Amino acid sequence: MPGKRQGMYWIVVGAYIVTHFLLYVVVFRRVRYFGTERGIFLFHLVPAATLTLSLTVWCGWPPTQDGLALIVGAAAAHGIYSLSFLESWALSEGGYSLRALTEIVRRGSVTASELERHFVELSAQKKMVRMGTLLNLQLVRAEGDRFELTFIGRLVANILALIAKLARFRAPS
Amino acid sequence: MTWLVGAIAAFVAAVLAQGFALRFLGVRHGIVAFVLVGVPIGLILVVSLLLELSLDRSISGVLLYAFLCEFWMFMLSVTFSSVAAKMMMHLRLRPMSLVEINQLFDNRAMIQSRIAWLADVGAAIRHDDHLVASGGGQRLVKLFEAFRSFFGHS
Repeated sequence: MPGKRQGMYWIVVGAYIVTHFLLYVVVFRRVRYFGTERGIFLFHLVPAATLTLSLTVWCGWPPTQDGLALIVGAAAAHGIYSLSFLESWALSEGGYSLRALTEIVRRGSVTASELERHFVELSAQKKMVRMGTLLNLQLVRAEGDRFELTFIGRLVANILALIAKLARFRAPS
Repeated sequence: MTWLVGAIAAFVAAVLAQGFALRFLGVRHGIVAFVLVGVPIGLILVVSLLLELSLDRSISGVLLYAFLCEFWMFMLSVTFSSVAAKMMMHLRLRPMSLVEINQLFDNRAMIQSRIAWLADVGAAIRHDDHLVASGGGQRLVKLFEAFRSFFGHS
Protein backbone atom coordinates (compact mmCIF):
# COMPACT_ATOMS: atom_id res chain seq x y z
CA MET A 1 0.00 0.00 0.00
CA PRO A 2 1.24 3.50 -0.80
CA GLY A 3 2.21 5.94 1.90
CA LYS A 4 5.50 4.88 3.47
CA ARG A 5 8.11 4.95 0.69
CA GLN A 6 7.32 8.36 -0.73
CA GLY A 7 8.43 8.88 -4.30
CA MET A 8 9.10 5.17 -4.88
CA TYR A 9 5.73 4.58 -6.53
CA TRP A 10 6.27 7.44 -8.96
CA ILE A 11 9.45 5.79 -10.17
CA VAL A 12 7.42 2.63 -10.92
CA VAL A 13 4.74 4.65 -12.77
CA GLY A 14 7.47 6.48 -14.72
CA ALA A 15 9.11 3.18 -15.63
CA TYR A 16 5.76 1.83 -16.87
CA ILE A 17 5.34 4.84 -19.18
CA VAL A 18 8.95 4.71 -20.43
CA THR A 19 8.56 0.97 -21.14
CA HIS A 20 5.37 1.67 -23.11
CA PHE A 21 7.19 4.25 -25.24
CA LEU A 22 10.20 1.98 -25.81
CA LEU A 23 7.90 -0.86 -26.87
CA TYR A 24 6.41 1.48 -29.47
CA VAL A 25 9.86 2.54 -30.71
CA VAL A 26 11.28 -0.98 -30.92
CA VAL A 27 8.25 -3.10 -31.89
CA PHE A 28 4.85 -1.52 -32.46
CA ARG A 29 5.68 1.33 -34.81
CA ARG A 30 6.65 -1.29 -37.39
CA VAL A 31 3.24 -2.99 -37.11
CA ARG A 32 0.83 -1.68 -39.76
CA TYR A 33 -2.23 -1.73 -37.46
CA PHE A 34 -0.61 0.78 -35.10
CA GLY A 35 -0.22 3.20 -37.99
CA THR A 36 -4.01 3.65 -38.08
CA GLU A 37 -5.99 6.13 -35.94
CA ARG A 38 -7.90 3.32 -34.23
CA GLY A 39 -4.78 1.24 -33.62
CA ILE A 40 -2.69 4.01 -32.09
CA PHE A 41 -5.63 5.20 -29.97
CA LEU A 42 -6.14 1.70 -28.53
CA PHE A 43 -2.37 1.36 -28.05
CA HIS A 44 -2.68 4.18 -25.51
CA LEU A 45 -6.16 3.62 -24.12
CA VAL A 46 -5.67 -0.03 -23.11
CA PRO A 47 -2.41 0.44 -21.10
CA ALA A 48 -3.79 3.61 -19.43
CA ALA A 49 -6.95 1.76 -18.36
CA THR A 50 -4.86 -1.27 -17.26
CA LEU A 51 -2.59 0.92 -15.12
CA THR A 52 -5.51 2.71 -13.47
CA LEU A 53 -7.49 -0.47 -12.80
CA SER A 54 -4.43 -2.36 -11.49
CA LEU A 55 -3.63 0.42 -9.04
CA THR A 56 -7.27 0.59 -7.94
CA VAL A 57 -7.29 -3.16 -7.21
CA TRP A 58 -3.89 -2.97 -5.49
CA CYS A 59 -4.91 -0.05 -3.26
CA GLY A 60 -8.24 -1.68 -2.34
CA TRP A 61 -11.70 -0.08 -2.39
CA PRO A 62 -12.39 2.46 -1.05
CA PRO A 63 -8.77 3.69 -1.37
CA THR A 64 -7.00 5.59 1.39
CA GLN A 65 -6.00 9.23 0.82
CA ASP A 66 -2.54 8.14 -0.34
CA GLY A 67 -4.01 5.36 -2.49
CA LEU A 68 -6.37 7.79 -4.22
CA ALA A 69 -3.48 10.22 -4.76
CA LEU A 70 -1.47 7.44 -6.43
CA ILE A 71 -4.37 6.31 -8.67
CA VAL A 72 -5.27 9.84 -9.82
CA GLY A 73 -1.63 10.89 -10.20
CA ALA A 74 -0.70 7.82 -12.25
CA ALA A 75 -3.75 8.23 -14.51
CA ALA A 76 -2.87 11.93 -14.97
CA ALA A 77 0.78 11.08 -15.78
CA HIS A 78 -0.33 8.55 -18.40
CA GLY A 79 -2.85 11.09 -19.71
CA ILE A 80 -0.12 13.75 -20.16
CA TYR A 81 2.12 11.27 -21.99
CA SER A 82 -0.65 9.80 -24.18
CA LEU A 83 -2.17 13.14 -25.12
CA SER A 84 1.25 14.54 -26.10
CA PHE A 85 2.04 11.42 -28.10
CA LEU A 86 -1.34 11.30 -29.90
CA GLU A 87 -1.31 15.01 -30.69
CA SER A 88 2.16 14.71 -32.25
CA TRP A 89 1.04 11.61 -34.15
CA ALA A 90 -2.13 13.25 -35.52
CA LEU A 91 -0.49 16.58 -36.33
CA SER A 92 2.38 14.99 -38.24
CA GLU A 93 -0.06 12.73 -40.09
CA GLY A 94 -2.52 15.26 -41.39
CA GLY A 95 -1.94 18.80 -40.09
CA TYR A 96 -3.33 21.09 -42.78
CA SER A 97 -1.35 24.20 -41.80
CA LEU A 98 1.86 22.19 -41.61
CA ARG A 99 1.27 20.80 -45.08
CA ALA A 100 0.83 24.33 -46.40
CA LEU A 101 4.01 25.45 -44.59
CA THR A 102 5.91 22.44 -45.97
CA GLU A 103 4.83 23.44 -49.48
CA ILE A 104 6.10 27.01 -48.89
CA VAL A 105 9.46 25.63 -47.69
CA ARG A 106 9.64 23.19 -50.64
CA ARG A 107 9.04 25.92 -53.22
CA GLY A 108 11.11 28.59 -51.44
CA SER A 109 8.72 31.36 -52.46
CA VAL A 110 5.11 31.05 -53.54
CA THR A 111 2.14 33.37 -54.10
CA ALA A 112 -0.98 32.91 -52.00
CA SER A 113 -3.03 32.16 -55.13
CA GLU A 114 -0.57 29.42 -56.23
CA LEU A 115 -0.86 27.86 -52.78
CA GLU A 116 -4.66 28.12 -52.89
CA ARG A 117 -4.76 26.33 -56.26
CA HIS A 118 -2.47 23.62 -54.91
CA PHE A 119 -4.59 22.99 -51.82
CA VAL A 120 -8.12 23.52 -53.12
CA GLU A 121 -8.53 19.81 -53.91
CA LEU A 122 -7.15 18.83 -50.49
CA SER A 123 -9.66 21.18 -48.81
CA ALA A 124 -12.52 19.44 -50.61
CA GLN A 125 -11.19 16.00 -49.65
CA LYS A 126 -10.66 17.05 -46.04
CA LYS A 127 -14.28 18.20 -45.71
CA MET A 128 -15.60 14.90 -47.04
CA VAL A 129 -13.25 12.84 -44.85
CA ARG A 130 -14.28 14.81 -41.75
CA MET A 131 -17.99 14.45 -42.51
CA GLY A 132 -17.43 10.71 -43.03
CA THR A 133 -15.70 10.52 -39.63
CA LEU A 134 -18.58 12.36 -37.91
CA LEU A 135 -21.07 9.95 -39.54
CA ASN A 136 -18.97 6.90 -38.55
CA LEU A 137 -18.69 8.11 -34.96
CA GLN A 138 -22.50 8.65 -34.99
CA LEU A 139 -22.11 12.28 -33.98
CA VAL A 140 -23.98 13.28 -37.16
CA ARG A 141 -26.72 11.46 -39.12
CA ALA A 142 -28.14 11.98 -42.60
CA GLU A 143 -31.88 12.71 -42.79
CA GLY A 144 -32.87 12.82 -46.45
CA ASP A 145 -30.51 15.29 -48.11
CA ARG A 146 -29.66 17.04 -44.85
CA PHE A 147 -27.20 16.34 -42.06
CA GLU A 148 -28.10 16.80 -38.40
CA LEU A 149 -26.48 16.15 -35.03
CA THR A 150 -27.32 13.06 -33.01
CA PHE A 151 -27.97 13.38 -29.26
CA ILE A 152 -24.28 12.71 -28.46
CA GLY A 153 -23.23 14.99 -31.32
CA ARG A 154 -25.34 17.82 -29.89
CA LEU A 155 -23.75 17.27 -26.48
CA VAL A 156 -20.24 17.46 -27.98
CA ALA A 157 -21.17 20.50 -30.11
CA ASN A 158 -22.52 22.31 -27.02
CA ILE A 159 -19.26 21.62 -25.15
CA LEU A 160 -17.25 22.94 -28.13
CA ALA A 161 -19.45 26.06 -28.31
CA LEU A 162 -18.96 26.65 -24.58
CA ILE A 163 -15.17 26.35 -24.96
CA ALA A 164 -15.29 28.75 -27.91
CA LYS A 165 -17.27 31.22 -25.79
CA LEU A 166 -14.93 30.92 -22.80
CA ALA A 167 -11.84 31.32 -24.98
CA ARG A 168 -13.47 34.02 -27.07
CA PHE A 169 -13.18 32.24 -30.39
CA ARG A 170 -15.78 33.21 -32.93
CA ALA A 171 -18.24 30.32 -32.74
CA PRO A 172 -21.03 30.25 -35.32
CA SER A 173 -24.09 32.17 -34.15
CA MET B 1 -8.28 15.76 -0.36
CA THR B 2 -6.50 19.16 -0.33
CA TRP B 3 -4.29 18.08 -3.26
CA LEU B 4 -7.36 17.11 -5.37
CA VAL B 5 -9.42 20.20 -4.56
CA GLY B 6 -6.32 22.41 -4.91
CA ALA B 7 -5.48 21.07 -8.38
CA ILE B 8 -9.06 21.42 -9.67
CA ALA B 9 -9.47 24.89 -8.13
CA ALA B 10 -6.16 26.02 -9.67
CA PHE B 11 -7.30 24.76 -13.09
CA VAL B 12 -10.67 26.56 -12.83
CA ALA B 13 -8.83 29.72 -11.75
CA ALA B 14 -6.52 29.42 -14.79
CA VAL B 15 -9.50 29.09 -17.19
CA LEU B 16 -11.21 32.12 -15.64
CA ALA B 17 -7.97 34.11 -15.70
CA GLN B 18 -7.53 33.18 -19.37
CA GLY B 19 -10.96 34.69 -20.13
CA PHE B 20 -9.93 37.83 -18.22
CA ALA B 21 -6.63 38.09 -20.14
CA LEU B 22 -8.44 37.72 -23.48
CA ARG B 23 -11.13 40.29 -22.69
CA PHE B 24 -9.30 42.93 -20.71
CA LEU B 25 -5.52 42.58 -21.23
CA GLY B 26 -5.50 42.55 -25.02
CA VAL B 27 -4.00 39.06 -25.44
CA ARG B 28 -5.21 37.79 -28.84
CA HIS B 29 -4.53 34.05 -28.81
CA GLY B 30 -6.48 31.77 -26.49
CA ILE B 31 -3.62 29.31 -25.96
CA VAL B 32 -1.04 32.07 -25.37
CA ALA B 33 -3.39 33.65 -22.83
CA PHE B 34 -3.83 30.33 -21.07
CA VAL B 35 -0.07 29.68 -20.88
CA LEU B 36 0.54 33.21 -19.56
CA VAL B 37 -1.83 32.69 -16.64
CA GLY B 38 -1.52 28.90 -16.24
CA VAL B 39 2.24 28.85 -15.56
CA PRO B 40 2.24 31.26 -12.58
CA ILE B 41 -0.89 29.62 -11.14
CA GLY B 42 0.82 26.23 -11.51
CA LEU B 43 3.92 27.50 -9.70
CA ILE B 44 1.79 28.80 -6.83
CA LEU B 45 0.09 25.38 -6.67
CA VAL B 46 3.46 23.54 -6.56
CA VAL B 47 4.78 25.70 -3.71
CA SER B 48 1.50 25.52 -1.75
CA LEU B 49 1.24 21.73 -2.03
CA LEU B 50 4.89 21.13 -1.10
CA LEU B 51 4.59 23.38 1.95
CA GLU B 52 1.37 21.75 3.17
CA LEU B 53 1.38 18.11 2.10
CA SER B 54 3.51 14.98 1.65
CA LEU B 55 5.57 14.51 -1.53
CA ASP B 56 3.21 11.80 -2.86
CA ARG B 57 0.09 13.95 -2.61
CA SER B 58 1.92 17.01 -3.92
CA ILE B 59 3.08 15.09 -7.01
CA SER B 60 -0.47 13.86 -7.61
CA GLY B 61 -1.89 17.38 -7.36
CA VAL B 62 0.69 18.78 -9.77
CA LEU B 63 0.21 15.92 -12.28
CA LEU B 64 -3.56 16.37 -12.19
CA TYR B 65 -3.24 20.13 -12.76
CA ALA B 66 -0.78 19.56 -15.64
CA PHE B 67 -3.08 17.00 -17.26
CA LEU B 68 -6.16 19.24 -16.98
CA CYS B 69 -4.20 22.13 -18.50
CA GLU B 70 -2.94 20.00 -21.39
CA PHE B 71 -6.41 18.63 -22.06
CA TRP B 72 -7.85 22.15 -22.01
CA MET B 73 -5.24 23.39 -24.51
CA PHE B 74 -5.98 20.37 -26.71
CA MET B 75 -9.71 21.22 -26.63
CA LEU B 76 -8.91 24.86 -27.44
CA SER B 77 -6.88 23.88 -30.49
CA VAL B 78 -9.59 21.44 -31.63
CA THR B 79 -12.28 24.13 -31.28
CA PHE B 80 -10.11 26.70 -33.01
CA SER B 81 -8.74 24.71 -35.93
CA SER B 82 -10.64 21.46 -36.49
CA VAL B 83 -12.89 21.37 -39.57
CA ALA B 84 -15.03 18.64 -37.95
CA ALA B 85 -15.51 20.74 -34.79
CA LYS B 86 -16.58 23.75 -36.85
CA MET B 87 -19.01 21.62 -38.85
CA MET B 88 -20.56 20.40 -35.61
CA MET B 89 -20.91 23.92 -34.23
CA HIS B 90 -22.73 24.97 -37.42
CA LEU B 91 -24.96 21.87 -37.38
CA ARG B 92 -25.82 22.73 -33.77
CA LEU B 93 -27.74 25.73 -35.09
CA ARG B 94 -29.73 23.83 -37.76
CA PRO B 95 -29.55 20.78 -40.05
CA MET B 96 -27.74 21.49 -43.31
CA SER B 97 -27.48 20.00 -46.79
CA LEU B 98 -24.14 19.16 -48.39
CA VAL B 99 -24.53 22.20 -50.65
CA GLU B 100 -24.92 24.49 -47.62
CA ILE B 101 -21.92 22.89 -45.90
CA ASN B 102 -19.85 23.39 -49.04
CA GLN B 103 -20.88 27.04 -49.15
CA LEU B 104 -19.93 27.52 -45.48
CA PHE B 105 -16.60 25.72 -45.85
CA ASP B 106 -15.42 27.14 -49.15
CA ASN B 107 -12.34 25.23 -50.36
CA ARG B 108 -10.43 28.41 -51.15
CA ALA B 109 -11.41 30.11 -47.88
CA MET B 110 -10.15 27.09 -45.90
CA ILE B 111 -6.63 27.41 -47.27
CA GLN B 112 -6.75 31.22 -47.08
CA SER B 113 -7.47 31.06 -43.34
CA ARG B 114 -4.50 28.70 -42.86
CA ILE B 115 -2.19 31.02 -44.83
CA ALA B 116 -3.39 33.95 -42.72
CA TRP B 117 -2.73 31.92 -39.55
CA LEU B 118 0.79 30.94 -40.68
CA ALA B 119 1.57 34.62 -41.33
CA ASP B 120 -0.07 35.63 -38.04
CA VAL B 121 2.08 33.29 -35.92
CA GLY B 122 5.24 34.22 -37.84
CA ALA B 123 5.85 30.85 -39.52
CA ALA B 124 5.45 32.45 -42.98
CA ILE B 125 6.35 35.98 -44.05
CA ARG B 126 4.66 37.95 -46.82
CA HIS B 127 7.01 39.68 -49.30
CA ASP B 128 4.86 41.70 -51.74
CA ASP B 129 2.46 39.04 -52.98
CA HIS B 130 4.81 36.14 -52.19
CA LEU B 131 5.05 33.94 -49.11
CA VAL B 132 8.34 32.64 -47.72
CA ALA B 133 8.96 30.53 -44.64
CA SER B 134 10.59 32.25 -41.67
CA GLY B 135 13.49 30.59 -39.80
CA GLY B 136 11.03 29.34 -37.20
CA GLY B 137 8.73 28.01 -39.94
CA GLN B 138 11.61 26.09 -41.54
CA ARG B 139 12.59 24.57 -38.19
CA LEU B 140 8.96 23.60 -37.59
CA VAL B 141 8.79 21.80 -40.95
CA LYS B 142 12.05 19.93 -40.18
CA LEU B 143 10.72 18.92 -36.78
CA PHE B 144 7.48 17.56 -38.21
CA GLU B 145 9.27 15.79 -41.05
CA ALA B 146 11.26 14.01 -38.32
CA PHE B 147 7.97 13.21 -36.56
CA ARG B 148 6.42 11.91 -39.80
CA SER B 149 9.42 9.67 -40.32
CA PHE B 150 9.36 8.49 -36.69
CA PHE B 151 5.64 7.65 -36.77
CA GLY B 152 5.95 6.04 -40.20
CA HIS B 153 3.44 8.34 -41.94
CA SER B 154 3.87 8.11 -45.70
